[in-house]
Amino acid sequence: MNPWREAWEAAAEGLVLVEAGRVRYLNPTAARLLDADPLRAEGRPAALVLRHHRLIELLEAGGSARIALRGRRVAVRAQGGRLYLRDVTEDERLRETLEQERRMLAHEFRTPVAGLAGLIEVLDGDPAADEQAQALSLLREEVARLERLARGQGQAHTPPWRLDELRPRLERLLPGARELEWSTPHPLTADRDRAFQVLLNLVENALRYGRPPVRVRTRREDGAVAVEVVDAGPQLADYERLFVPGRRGVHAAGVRGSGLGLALVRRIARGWGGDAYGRRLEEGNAFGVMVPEGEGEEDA
Amino acid sequence: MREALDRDLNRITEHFLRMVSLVREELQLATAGLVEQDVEKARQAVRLDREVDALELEIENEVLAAIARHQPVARDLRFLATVLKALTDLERAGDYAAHVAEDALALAGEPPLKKYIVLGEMAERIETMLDLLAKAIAERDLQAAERVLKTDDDVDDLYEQIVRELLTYMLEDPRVLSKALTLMRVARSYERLGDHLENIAERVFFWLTGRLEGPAAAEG
Repeated sequence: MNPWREAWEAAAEGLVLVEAGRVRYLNPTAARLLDADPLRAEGRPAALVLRHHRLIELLEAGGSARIALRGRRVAVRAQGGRLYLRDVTEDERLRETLEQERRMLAHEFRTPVAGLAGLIEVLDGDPAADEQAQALSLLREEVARLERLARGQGQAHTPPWRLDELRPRLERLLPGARELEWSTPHPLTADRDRAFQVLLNLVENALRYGRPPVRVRTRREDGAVAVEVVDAGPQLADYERLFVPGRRGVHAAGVRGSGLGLALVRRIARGWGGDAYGRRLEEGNAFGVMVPEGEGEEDA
Repeated sequence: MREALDRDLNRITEHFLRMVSLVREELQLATAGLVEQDVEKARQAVRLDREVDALELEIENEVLAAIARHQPVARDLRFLATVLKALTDLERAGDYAAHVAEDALALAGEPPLKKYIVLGEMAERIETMLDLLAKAIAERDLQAAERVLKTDDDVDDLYEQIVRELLTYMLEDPRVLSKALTLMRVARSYERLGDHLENIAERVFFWLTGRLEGPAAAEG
């Protein structure tokens, strides 16, 4: 076999060579992407082998494009009777995932950083010694948490703890949280950093889109502890849709937000082996997570 | 003489494949318009349908001219008859894709009733049917034509599934009635689109085998 042809037979990129409107050569990668028989293709009219109007147009006019071919995304480059085909399905999927990760991380930093700015203002205002010590300690704690978040690490196992232990941090970072009603008697063993992320997102949503009073509560249900935030807002059109990344509620128009909070809450809850939910209650809307009991203990 | 006929038949095949490919793109755009609530893509689908309609007339003229010029017989005549009849089905298939796009435009801007997963699956199966149809015609591949018919059974099953699902929504909450009815029409458009492609596959079967009965009857 001609060495050039042999090289193209093994290439990961697809090549279709067309002369006078007929296929002169088609390598195995191109045959796979086009679902064509390479032995039969040679000598046949290009339109019958390519069977896609965009490929024919590119072949005639030259240039490049991304097209859908039998469920794959394919980058096509056409030059002087040659079509080069590259399967970019996985690349595009990866890029999309990375972009989503970037947006999620940005979302997770925005509210805490605004809270940290508030603490710095407190320190600037010449506070009393005990307030200064408290603000500094919160600053250190929060910076350490964000550092762990950026490194993708959870917190080491801690003995069972109660959700309201996070209350002071939450109130310092999110001033509206001082109005919350708490009823959280059930002990948790899940990672505190992640639980704080969940709580911060749920409370921020309730304060921003819901109506007061906003309550934080825990319940025990089927071997799991439900952590939920309930507000007195009206019934929503679709609860499940709000968990899809980038999708926001109809009432969210004009309110700043990225639509990523609940998607992130769900991801954390699923990482615990539980799930996140939104549902209508008689008194309002509840958004929460189910945390299987004993979650985190095996990580000790 | 034979050469001139082959040239005409090839041109007609190429144009028919182009029409199949255009309908496929129209369907993709209409579905993206619906699932991603992308208004611009839905509008592109409607515009593309006009191109499909114009191509139908062009191919019809080419087929009639080829019959008049060459007076073909046997398989060549069956091919031209197949194309002539399949054109109507393919044009109707394009119309149904345009209906999906129009309904997508009507639904855009409102929160979706649900995630359109089953409708997306119907569209995917129909895209596969169009790919197989193009392969059956271009490569005279009988198996590909038979797979079109089998895939249409999947489309019908998905249609049943979505109708049941939408009925449940309507019974649970009458406020969603109008949206659910529109989605019902979308599902129906996909289902009818699949049926038209099935008709074409049956004609391709006739062209390749000379037998009028479809493969399902032949198997039985």
